[in-house]
Amino acid sequence: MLGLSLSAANIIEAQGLLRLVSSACFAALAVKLWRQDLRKGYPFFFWYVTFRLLRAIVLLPFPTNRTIYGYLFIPTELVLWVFYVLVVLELYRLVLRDFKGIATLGRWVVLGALSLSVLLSLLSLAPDLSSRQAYPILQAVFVMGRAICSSLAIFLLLITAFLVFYPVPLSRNVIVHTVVYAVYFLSLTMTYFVRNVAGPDVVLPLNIVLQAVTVLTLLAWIVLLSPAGEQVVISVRPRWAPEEEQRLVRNLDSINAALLRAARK
Amino acid sequence: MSTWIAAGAVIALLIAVAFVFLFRKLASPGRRADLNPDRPSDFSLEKYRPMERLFSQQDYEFLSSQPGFSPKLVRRLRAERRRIFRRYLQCLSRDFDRLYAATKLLLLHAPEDRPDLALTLLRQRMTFRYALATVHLRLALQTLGLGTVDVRGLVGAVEALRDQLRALSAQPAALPVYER
Repeated sequence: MLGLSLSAANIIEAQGLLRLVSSACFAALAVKLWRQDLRKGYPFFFWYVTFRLLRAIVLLPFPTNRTIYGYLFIPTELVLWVFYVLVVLELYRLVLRDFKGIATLGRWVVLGALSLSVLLSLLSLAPDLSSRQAYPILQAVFVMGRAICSSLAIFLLLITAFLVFYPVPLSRNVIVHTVVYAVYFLSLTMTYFVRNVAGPDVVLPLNIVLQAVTVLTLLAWIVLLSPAGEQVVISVRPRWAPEEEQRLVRNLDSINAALLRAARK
Repeated sequence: MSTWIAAGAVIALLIAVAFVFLFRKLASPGRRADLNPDRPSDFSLEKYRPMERLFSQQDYEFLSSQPGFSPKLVRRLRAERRRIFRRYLQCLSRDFDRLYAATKLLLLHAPEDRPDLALTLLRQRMTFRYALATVHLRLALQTLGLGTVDVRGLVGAVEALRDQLRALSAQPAALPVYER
């Protein structure tokens, strides 16, 4: 009994410490984005980091099991979801904006990936909705959080697959963002999921894990983002004539036609 | 409850593995080559020439007129030629991918929006994969003694592909650093 309460006290202590560390990391990242002028390239990301910092400062004095914490947590959580969507969309707008040739294709891909990810995420909510918990409002918030974070994780996966398939030149910072978002949203999704299915008993250890992941992702951003990482190496080619393009397509056609003939004989 | 959590963990793990696979691809030298496709130095039309003759009936007719001919020998020869043919298809697939990569680059750097070309390319790729799969199926059927594969015309198509790759390689490909 004594051992159990001691470990609970240790967890609360560790959680408090991690909250402090993550607040410091948010502050360091905001300063870095500001000082190195990276905020101009990623304005939503900068405002997201700033908002997280302010939220962490406001929430810091309150223990997580107090009602006042809940009153502050829920509305700010809703704002955070909006930021999550904005920072991810901002990233892919930046990646695709300089390539006029695939403007429509890019829109189709983003729209298709968004629709598919939301659909898959909603279809996977059954276990989250099936458990009955003492605080329905909190449960609803966590179920919505799970839906949003898993949608974003799937969306990131689909868009990354598109970027692998299409040789869009990427800066190092964009790759860093994509990797860190993937780790973060996947961890967040799993945290929400376990919380929804297992109930509030697991909140303390889950919070520790989530805080640890948050600190690691913040450290990754602090260390890996840089003004030099904004540079993109691309090959510059002369504008190809329409005949060139038609010949390319005709050649692909003729290979296909010959193969199809071989297949039908 | 624990079943749901285990199932969730497995799905999350699969997604994580997919991410790792994609991130490795993003950082791979192959993708960098896609960004600046070099022409294949080993590309030679001559290597596709024998493809046309691999399933030619003449060879088998000649063989059957020779002393010591046996159906077993013909079967062994056909099997060996199918194996060679599959190698040729692998090469063809690689060359198609190179041309396809060049066309994707063309689309990427097009001065105006080209959804039509994007759709054409998508169709091309699907057709190629379908045709390739069908040829492989026909090869498998041939193993069972059903039908044959006729590749006349394929070498002509590859010749055009070679010309195109040469034309593209003649264009300069500087590598400046582009800063946002």
